[in-house]
Amino acid sequence: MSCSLTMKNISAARNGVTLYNGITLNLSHKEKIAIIGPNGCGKTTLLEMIAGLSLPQSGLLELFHRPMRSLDDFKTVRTMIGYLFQDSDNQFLAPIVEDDVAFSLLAQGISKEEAALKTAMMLQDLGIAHLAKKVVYHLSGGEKKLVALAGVLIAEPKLMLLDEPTNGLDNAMQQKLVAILRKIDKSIIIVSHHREFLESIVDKIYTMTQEGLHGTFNASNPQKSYIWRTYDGHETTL
Amino acid sequence: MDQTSHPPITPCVALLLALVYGCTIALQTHMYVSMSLILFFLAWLKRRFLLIIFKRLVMLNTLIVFIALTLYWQHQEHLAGLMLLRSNLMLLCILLLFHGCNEFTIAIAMQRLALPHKITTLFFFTSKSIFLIRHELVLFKNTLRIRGFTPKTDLLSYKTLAGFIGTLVIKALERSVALQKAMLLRGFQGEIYTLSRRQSLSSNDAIATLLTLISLFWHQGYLL
Repeated sequence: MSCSLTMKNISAARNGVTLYNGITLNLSHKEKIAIIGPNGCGKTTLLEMIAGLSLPQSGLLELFHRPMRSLDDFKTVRTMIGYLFQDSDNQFLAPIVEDDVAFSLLAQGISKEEAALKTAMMLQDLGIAHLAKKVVYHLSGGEKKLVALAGVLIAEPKLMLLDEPTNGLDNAMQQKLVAILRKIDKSIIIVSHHREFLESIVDKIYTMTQEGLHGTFNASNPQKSYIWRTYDGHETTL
Repeated sequence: MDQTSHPPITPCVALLLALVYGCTIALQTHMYVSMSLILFFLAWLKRRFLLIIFKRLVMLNTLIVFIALTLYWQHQEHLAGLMLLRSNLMLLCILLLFHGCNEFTIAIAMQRLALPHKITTLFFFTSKSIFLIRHELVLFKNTLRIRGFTPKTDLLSYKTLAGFIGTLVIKALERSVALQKAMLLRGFQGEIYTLSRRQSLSSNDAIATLLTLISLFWHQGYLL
């Protein structure tokens, strides 16, 4: 199985303090993993490194079999990575829901008509079609999270990085998010403290310490098949 | 809040009218009653929001009145009156034209008028940042209230205020860093986009344009 991400002996520091040494991780194609760890241990820093927002102090980072040695190297894989921010407000680049969701498509040069169609389908898939004309800043925390997720999913990334996706969500919204994330047929890395939520989605849970990542297989994941509706309206089961 | 309703004056036309009216009024040395003709029409269009608009005008007038009074005390009565009238006409016109338009609508209108993308994106993201900082401000004020803080003229109050300003600056910086990250991750190409269709010109646009031209070039009822 091809690898979406390979990390070998990655180390990182923040404000001169070493966060971790020797992080090694392989993420297979369409594999879903979670990273847990105490506050401030560097989980978000790791996601930001994978997304190309910062570089590791040392070690090898490969995305889709391409070594990432400088921030410029990430330009070639940028569209293949989707990142869900911890605070959804930071993610919005347009104030109206449909404009924000369509942003990545329009930035890629896709026609307005096609972008509008895909946006409508995406909002419908996530059950938030009624929010299309709303102002993003006036939505509830859960709605904001779903709109932000729609904005990530619409660009059809191969690798999704989710930073604390359950932050500020009530139980019903968490269940909705679980249902959505279980349907998504992509490589996903989730950073969260919410173990129960993670166990219902991912294949493997890694615990982050200063020495590295320690993984355990998630036996409680009941997921047997993935169903994802494609834009042409078909449903695929893998 | 839904954004489905269109403003009575198309944002592109509103921008052009504000520019033409503002620049011409700013250069006038004599004021006439007829110059306010367009304002009556705009006030009628925005009649439901007149009270809010006038409240804003009064707030904006605090500094203007102060400057006008300074000129008046320096025996420059004509200049003081001219400045007061000109500023109020321009402000009222802008308030009436853009009341109810969000920053995004204005930024898109700027883009449609072929203004450089850097100006439009800078305008939009600055407005977005102001909105978010204002939100932080409200949160901080509420925190102070909940924690029983009452401002006094003592060291604690000044320290709290200083800490509050410092926190706002740090939050603003954090927001700007987060915005830069979002731009990188979401493929920002220096342009903002909308799915909404271009609003077609309406009869209001034509009437407003005509009245603006009449207001500016038909001088009746000498005031100053």
